[in-house]
Amino acid sequence: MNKSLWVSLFVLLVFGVAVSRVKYEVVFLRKKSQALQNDIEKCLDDLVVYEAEWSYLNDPKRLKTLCQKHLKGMRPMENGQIISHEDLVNSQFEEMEDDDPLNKRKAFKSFIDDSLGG
Amino acid sequence: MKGTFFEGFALWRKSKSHATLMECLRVRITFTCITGILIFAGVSYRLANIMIIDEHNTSTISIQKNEIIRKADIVDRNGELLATSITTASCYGDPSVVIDIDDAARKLSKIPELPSFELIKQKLSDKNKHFVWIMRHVPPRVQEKVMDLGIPGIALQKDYKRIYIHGNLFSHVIGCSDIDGNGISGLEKRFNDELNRHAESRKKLAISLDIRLQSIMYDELQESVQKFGAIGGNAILMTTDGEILAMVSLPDFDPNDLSKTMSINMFNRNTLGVFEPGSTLKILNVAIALDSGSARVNSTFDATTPIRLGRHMIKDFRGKNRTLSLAEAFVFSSNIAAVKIAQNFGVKTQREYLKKFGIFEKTQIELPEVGAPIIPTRWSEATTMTVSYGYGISVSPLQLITAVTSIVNDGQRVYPSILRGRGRVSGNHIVSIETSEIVRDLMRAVICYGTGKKAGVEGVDIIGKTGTTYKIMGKGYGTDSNRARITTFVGGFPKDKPRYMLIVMLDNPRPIEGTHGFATAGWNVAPTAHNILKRIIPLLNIATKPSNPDLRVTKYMKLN
Repeated sequence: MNKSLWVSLFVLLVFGVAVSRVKYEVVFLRKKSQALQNDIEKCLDDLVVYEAEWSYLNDPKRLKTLCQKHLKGMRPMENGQIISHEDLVNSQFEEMEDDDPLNKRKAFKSFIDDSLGG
Repeated sequence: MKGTFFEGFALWRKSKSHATLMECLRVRITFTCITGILIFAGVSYRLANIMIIDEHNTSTISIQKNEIIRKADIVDRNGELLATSITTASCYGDPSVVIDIDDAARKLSKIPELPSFELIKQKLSDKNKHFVWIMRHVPPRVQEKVMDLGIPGIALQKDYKRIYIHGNLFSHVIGCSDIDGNGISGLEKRFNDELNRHAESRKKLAISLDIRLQSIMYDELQESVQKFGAIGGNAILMTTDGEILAMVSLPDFDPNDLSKTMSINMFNRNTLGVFEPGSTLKILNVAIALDSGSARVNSTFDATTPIRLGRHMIKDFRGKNRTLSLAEAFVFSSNIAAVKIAQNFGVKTQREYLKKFGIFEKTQIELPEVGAPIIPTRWSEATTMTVSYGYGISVSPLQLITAVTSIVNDGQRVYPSILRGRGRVSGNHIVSIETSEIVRDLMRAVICYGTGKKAGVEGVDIIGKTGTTYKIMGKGYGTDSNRARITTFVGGFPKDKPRYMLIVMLDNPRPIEGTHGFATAGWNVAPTAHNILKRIIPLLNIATKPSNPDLRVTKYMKLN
């Protein structure tokens, strides 16, 4: 009777110590996790500010002013500078004797590939 | 003293029997044991509670008495950040904790950025309160000063401030928020709950607007408003799929600083304002005539004599005074012919078609500020006549451009949206493909030969129609000396398969040097539309090609 009581008390003690250790381990890890979470939050908050600053720096009005100041001699793109792919092929190879647009396109493709070193 | 105690004890023992004495001792020992066990149990319980059960708050102690939620970001169609919430700190007080209110108020008010002594004292005066804001969104250097003061009951709390990076540029679309971040207008109001809900997951609300196009439209419209002395202006650019790419309304406001904003500046002319569309409604009139079969493009109408309608005369502005084909009536914008065209198809047909075009209902769009059209309660013959040339009915610019887009988009009804990828086109045709093609030809002829010449852009087949209306002033349209106009251009490009549609309006533009005393649409909104189109077309990747002047409708027109 006495022996079993002592054994029970011992087991209880060991169990208590183990639970206590686990508890403190959890508390420690939670602290660490919280600290990491806070760091992440701070980084994300900083990121928001950087994104906002980047967007502000890319404000069209600001870019326009900078372009006018630094890109002297350059003009805004005009609609005449854009032509369709077909028109580009035809204008590049309009002197070709072969009138077949497919052949012209092939020639254009090889011309582009050559130009790119492909 | 000692002797006295033991002598007393010995006397007491002698006076009691042995059994009584033992019983007394047993009771005492039991009582002591129970007390000891209870104390031990209490201490053990507390220890266990602290060591095992109790959840310690291990995080940094911060008082969150007034929870402020971060809102999700708003980006444009290309992911450019437009609105975001940045972390700030706000200063608050707990009056029940503040020991000396006068002293606290005096110290705080010495910091220039904080409120005055009287205001702080007033805020802290109610000792029953546990939370009052001293100042929201305190700058970092002020935060340091507040912390250095170390006043008990005065502290800082993490807060979020909503900022609109591009200021006025998107003011009417994105709207604005109050100091707590609750949306009070625009998309901020419409999607307030969704923006709050998705903030944690860092999701972003992508709208259909493009900052580059918006900026161009804003610049050009602002310049035109100034140039023509208009009191305001507005414009919308949308795809024929219903996605709105740019939407500007002037005057506008800075959503970052509402203290300087007048309520009129927050009025979104594009969606909330309704106006009599004038000659631009002739697009709908002609579409009805062609689609219902009541007229063909070569049908002729006598436009020599003005039409009397009650006290008013319906006449043409710089009319041709001859019989006009339907094509000519449209291109030269004849009111007389428009009335006769409408009389041919009649009241019932007109109402049916206008309903199909969505003229009788509010346009469905994700903005809270949407105006309902003003429709006459009794639709008489006279109403049909006035509506044929755009009077007697008021619609919003968004409603007008949506109806016109539906007609030129092969007759497929378009449902606009301000969110990326949410525009919708109904498969049903409200007018036939052929009607749509003829209307596009007619609108192209307006640019080539009519009042829209100044809107044309080299190398791109722009289509369009201008309209000039007089604003209602009291019970009428004012007199020659005080008349106020609204000028409108509605159009699109490219003609054969329109992909983009544009509406531009100016509110009360004035004649200026170079307009020869005119202030009609062809002299102000048409060149404004030209300036916008010229700059946005390269960005929209529209290839240019030599314009084809041969339109199917020109053979029914005398062009000189």
